[in-house]
Amino acid sequence: MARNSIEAHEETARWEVQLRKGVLEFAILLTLRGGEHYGFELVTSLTSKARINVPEGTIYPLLLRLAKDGLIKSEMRDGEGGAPRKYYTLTPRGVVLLEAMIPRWKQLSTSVEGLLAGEEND
Amino acid sequence: MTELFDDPAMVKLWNAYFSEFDKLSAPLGDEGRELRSDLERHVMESIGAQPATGNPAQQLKVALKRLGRPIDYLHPILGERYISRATHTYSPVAVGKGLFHTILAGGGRLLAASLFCLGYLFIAVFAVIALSKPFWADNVGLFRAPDGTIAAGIVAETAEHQEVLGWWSIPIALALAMLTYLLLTKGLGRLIRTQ
Repeated sequence: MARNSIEAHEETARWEVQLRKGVLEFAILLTLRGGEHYGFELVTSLTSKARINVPEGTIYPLLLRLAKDGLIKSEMRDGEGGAPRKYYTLTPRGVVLLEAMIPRWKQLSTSVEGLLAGEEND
Repeated sequence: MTELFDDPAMVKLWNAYFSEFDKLSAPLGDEGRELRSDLERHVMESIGAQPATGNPAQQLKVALKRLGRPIDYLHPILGERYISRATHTYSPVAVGKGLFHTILAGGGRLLAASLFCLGYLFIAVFAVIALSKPFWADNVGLFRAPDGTIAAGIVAETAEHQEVLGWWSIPIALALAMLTYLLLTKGLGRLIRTQ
């Protein structure tokens, strides 16, 4: 019984990590909609405000890909302490994609909520 | 960047982490170097954001732990890089590495990558048919049974069967293996265009 419970917990944890990774791209674009962020600030924002607890290193390859796809752009500037920081912003193309993603997300979220509510009522 | 550290324990931790990163990210070229700079800046910021404990080596340890193991976050980008290389060079090594990293990265591409692996298994089947024909000439090939049904591959009972292709089954199996490989590898490019 205890073994089954541990296996179920491990499976749920694996599923949760994949789920979080799946929404990461969307969460990054959403965070950048609020204005430019440098790398560490963006990661902190995602892990604290959005509670997306993935290894912090996961974010940077995604940022590289989003930049390569022309959805975000980066610029090196000196930060507050003088150390150079890379600031990320949405490109016009990124804004358009994000605006298209938001209603899709809401639709999906409503559908899953509906399924969950149905399950609770049964 | 280790010149910023006075503590040998910090230098050791830093070098151990980033030498592993360098080894894994070597196929990424410039992208890997850019990624390393981003991560280095992140670690320095992460150390600075921690409450001062008087133990900088411990702070670095925490920052590196939060960053995660390089292999864990490099799987997706390595998968993309190798698959992109495979679609241009048709290198079997690049195909294998690309699928390996894509499957371990999990996510939306896991199912598609697994299906591609199954597809590549078909190539092995064609190759086995071609290679085993010279050794079991009477049982390998394309056969027509007395009732008209067709059997292909390695067939156990062929006494009453008529062989259709003869030795042509070798070049045909090899050609099918080659064609399947080319089509699958060309199709791999679609895998990195889907999330």
